[in-house]
Amino acid sequence: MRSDAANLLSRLGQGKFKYQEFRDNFADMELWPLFEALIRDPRISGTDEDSRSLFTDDPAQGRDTGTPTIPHAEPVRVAGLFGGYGAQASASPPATAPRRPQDDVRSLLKRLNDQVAAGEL
Amino acid sequence: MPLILCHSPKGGVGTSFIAAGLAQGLSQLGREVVLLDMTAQGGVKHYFGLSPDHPLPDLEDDVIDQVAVGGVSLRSGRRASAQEDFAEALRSGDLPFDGETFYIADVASGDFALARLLQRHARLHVCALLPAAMSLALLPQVSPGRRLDTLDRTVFVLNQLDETRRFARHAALFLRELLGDNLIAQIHRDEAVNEAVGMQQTLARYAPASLALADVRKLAGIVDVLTRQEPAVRDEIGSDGGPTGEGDNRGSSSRSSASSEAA
Ligand SMILES: Nc1ncnc2c1ncn2[C@@H]1O[C@H](COP(=O)(O)OP(=O)(O)OP(=O)(O)O)[C@@H](O)[C@H]1O
Ligand SMILES: [Mg+2]
Repeated sequence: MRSDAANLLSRLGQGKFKYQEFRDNFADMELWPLFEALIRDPRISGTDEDSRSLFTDDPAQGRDTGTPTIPHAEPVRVAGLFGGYGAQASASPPATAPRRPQDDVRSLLKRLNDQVAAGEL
Repeated sequence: MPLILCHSPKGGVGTSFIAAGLAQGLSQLGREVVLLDMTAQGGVKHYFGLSPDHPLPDLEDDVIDQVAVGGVSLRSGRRASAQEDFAEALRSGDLPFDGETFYIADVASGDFALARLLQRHARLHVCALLPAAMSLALLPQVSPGRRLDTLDRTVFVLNQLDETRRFARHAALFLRELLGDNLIAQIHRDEAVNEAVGMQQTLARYAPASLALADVRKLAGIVDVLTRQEPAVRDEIGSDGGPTGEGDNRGSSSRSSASSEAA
């Protein structure tokens, strides 16, 4: 923020701009099929144990669960850490039980709806 | 060995800005910080007021020609990482990711191989996102097969937030739900970031009242806590405890305060 703007805001007693006028209708969120596609994407919902990154250069590497060079006492957490970028995506099941994608979308939209209704968003 | 990996599957989202801001913020907190520019572009130095022709010493060079700005030592890791034995050097501890010094690695978005390699040695992976559709669309590439709110050492920062834009507002809401506590901070879009580079000054010098500066300082505080609380991979070698959730607990207090910040 420029210092003149910051000075003005501080005289007005505001640390930053607040865009209170931008209250969104919950229904607007459904405008974006991308959001739903992301929630349903098995790589994100944790339902697809075989998925791996587009950038994995050696697909076989993704199945190599015995990587001796990465000693680690916590296999599940290792999978989380190294599962990124496809290194060990299929090494372990997700730490938490996968939610059903259908429920995911509904519960997410419901939570957002509740927050909008409560004036939090 | 607090190595902090800054990498996003999407380019142009502010990974270098965040790497620089983290380095500057951690330095301000009194930490010793080395910023490693691992990109071919070599752009991160511009957030330190340096000129395009200002060379950075390589990671492996002698420290005689130190480039340090505001306590942050800047190095290029390009040559080192191109060497065949780089992975081995990391593995054997040849590279000095130990002690109290924070090493912050700025890795180019397309360089997944290097990001993956460094991630194995990193205490924390910071992934920048934009509240823009293309940035969201690449999210499934971050950690395929794992829910993003359950990742242990990958955290997300929403950069260039602009609440005057409808999609940005919706994306911010959506990401808070999708990423949970792993969305540790949001940084507002602030033209001062661009202007400071144009002035060849740090953001702190050019616009001390900058909103983005305040946001990134907050982020540095959160990362400082997270990295001190979470054990290095090496520390865990030989312990046979299995997944105790210990690391999660240690991270949780700071993360929940961070998420209330984001909410
Ligand atoms: N919070 C912000 N507000 C305004 N502009 C920003 C902000 N963060 C980054 N920028 C601008 O966005 C552009 C991209 O930033 P930056 O180069 O740090 O991203 P990057 O992800 O490292 O890009 P690349 O993929 O090219 O390495 C730059 O012009 C930078 O000045
Ligand atoms: Mg960059």
